[in-house]
Amino acid sequence: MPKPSLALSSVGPDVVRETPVREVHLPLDGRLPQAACGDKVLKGQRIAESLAPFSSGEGDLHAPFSGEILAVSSEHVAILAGGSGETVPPAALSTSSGEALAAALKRLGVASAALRPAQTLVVGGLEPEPGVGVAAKLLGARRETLEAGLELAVRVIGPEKRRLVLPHGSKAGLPGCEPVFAAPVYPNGLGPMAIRAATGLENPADAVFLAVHELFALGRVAESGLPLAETAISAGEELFCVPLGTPAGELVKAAGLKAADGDRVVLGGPMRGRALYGLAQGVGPGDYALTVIPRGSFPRMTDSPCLNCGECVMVCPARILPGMISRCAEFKLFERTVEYHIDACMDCGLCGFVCVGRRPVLQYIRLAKKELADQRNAACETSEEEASSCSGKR
Amino acid sequence: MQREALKPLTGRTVFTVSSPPHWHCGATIPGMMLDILLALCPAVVMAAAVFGMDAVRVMALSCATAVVVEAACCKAMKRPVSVDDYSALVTGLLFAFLLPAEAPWWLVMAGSAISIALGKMVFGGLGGHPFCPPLVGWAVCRISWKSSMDIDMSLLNADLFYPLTQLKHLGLEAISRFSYADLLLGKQLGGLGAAQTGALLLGGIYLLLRRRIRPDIPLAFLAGTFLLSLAYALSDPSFYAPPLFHLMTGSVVLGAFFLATDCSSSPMGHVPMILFGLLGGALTVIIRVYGDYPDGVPFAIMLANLATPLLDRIRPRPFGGAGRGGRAHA
Ligand code: SF4
Ligand code: SF4
Repeated sequence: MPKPSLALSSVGPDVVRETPVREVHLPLDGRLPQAACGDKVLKGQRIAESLAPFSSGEGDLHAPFSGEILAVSSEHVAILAGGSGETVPPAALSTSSGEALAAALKRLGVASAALRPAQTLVVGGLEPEPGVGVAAKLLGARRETLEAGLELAVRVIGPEKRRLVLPHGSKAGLPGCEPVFAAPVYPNGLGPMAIRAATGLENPADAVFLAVHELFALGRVAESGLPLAETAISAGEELFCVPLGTPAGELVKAAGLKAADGDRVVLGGPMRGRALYGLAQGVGPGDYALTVIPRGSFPRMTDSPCLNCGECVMVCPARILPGMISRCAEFKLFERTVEYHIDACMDCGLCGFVCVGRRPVLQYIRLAKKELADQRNAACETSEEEASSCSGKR
Repeated sequence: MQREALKPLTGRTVFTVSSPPHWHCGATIPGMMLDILLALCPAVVMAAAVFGMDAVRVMALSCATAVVVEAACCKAMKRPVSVDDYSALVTGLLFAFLLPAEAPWWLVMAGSAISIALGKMVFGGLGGHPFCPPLVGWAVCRISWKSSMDIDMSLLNADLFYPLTQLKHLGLEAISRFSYADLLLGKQLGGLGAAQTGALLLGGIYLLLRRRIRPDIPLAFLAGTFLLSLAYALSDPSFYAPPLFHLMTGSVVLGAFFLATDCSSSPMGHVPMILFGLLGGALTVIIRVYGDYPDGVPFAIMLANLATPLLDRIRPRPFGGAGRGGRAHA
């Protein structure tokens, strides 16, 4: 396969297709299940509670339609459609704002680190990854929903300035948002890059980023008053709006794709997505693409040592040394990655994309980030314990 | 190359699961090494044409030794044998390029083995070596067996001359016998491949077009050689050779495109790479003017290699100024 293009472009007409499904597999991703096998649930009823902090961007999980719980495992909750189509009573969102609204939204399944007070709201209208067509199609076909979502977001964030980052030549727009044009090339659609394009600043504290597909999720909740039940997801050349938990296989079929032995079925884009192990796995909130990569398309990953060739250094938008960080992580020298500014990494995956040694560079970087986070958490906990034991003595 | 996945008896489809990114630009180590070998081919042909079977013998022996020694080192280090990435072949061929066509068999084998074992494998193999490996072999041989490494040894067998010793010992008039066209076509003595200036230039351009190397180091190296020799030539044109003469003799072109660009021993990032190239180019001229060695390139590159860790410290501020908000670079 020739070198794939990193251009961000949406192909095909701006339409959003719905695909009905009768059985969904909601991925728990660490959430705590709140339902048992055989339970009857209403549309919008809470199925699992998020234990993650608000900044993680993870919300609770709800039944996308009424039906019966088929199975509960450590990984997913399966629901079979059935019953009357009754829903839980809609939430009243029109009166609240600020933090109260953000907390209510987390309970409704739409959480995001961006839902906090800030001076500037940057809406990402570039496609998040190459080979993904979600932003342009939503801007073209679902403008009312996006406007509803924007209105909700603005009530939480209270921004003085609103910017919409668009590819050069785009005619799209959103109310109150000043358009900013950027080259449609990966990684310009990612949050830190879009914020820089819109404000001229790198990681300013008072700016937040919401991609168009996140706005869409907010919009669906605003329109219905019900918990988040669907996600906009691009597959092949089409954009679908599917119930949460829709099995990947249904999407593969609907998009006319083929997934055979040895292929990769990826939830997300080709640069950052998560490879699935089976077609029964369902899509979760925030999943914006399904990508199938035929076997043998690219050289196999190896455990080759780093050549020190510097290709990753040249492409890294964070201007750090991904090769060096991956070497540190390889030898478990996680603290040392901090000196190499691992915190600046925006998780774009370009380092792994260009690596001549075909090293899993991004995986090493993610490993180091995870280890560092675990260490920091452990340190917090022990210091808290010490503090409480001290106060106990007194 | 894909390994067959084990099929479960249930007949379920088995997908490949791996970490992102799932796309790749397609560049691999064997691919890169094969391209370098391809880029060296014109020089191989020219060397065979100018120096005959002698040159072929040296190149073949050096390549074979390099591959065998690397395989033996891998075995001794209890590591998977990595010769299938062709990097040993490249090292062997580049080392041969630095030798006179008359080099005795023991010298070729010893130097090639040293390039691999001391130049590369003791540092853990590809990616770890602080010096360009063929230069390590060259330096050891040059210091240990000075007379056998002497390019002028070939004088007896060929009706060509080594421009750099002519310049060093006989002065500026002696080099008037070389026309630039002759130098380009390799009608000069020198390392058997290094002397094929035109063919190497062709190969270098091929590597640039294929984006196997970045232009920073080769162009800066050539610029460094050119500018400093120009400065000397301007200061006393009756004593110092013109800059183009310096560019087309010895191993300047080989060094610029194939030796200085060695991944592991050269720095990363545009500014460090350009400084590295300029340093290597300038040192070449300084060694040629003041040094004992007629061709300054190998030692100049090794000295520049020493500066690599230092140059690598020149880094731009990371995105967002290491966690703090900051002004974007325009
Ligand atoms: S993923 Fe790699 S290329 Fe991207 S910002 Fe992080 S280190 Fe740099
Ligand atoms: S691209 Fe790969 S081999 Fe090259 S320096 Fe980066 S991590 Fe190392």
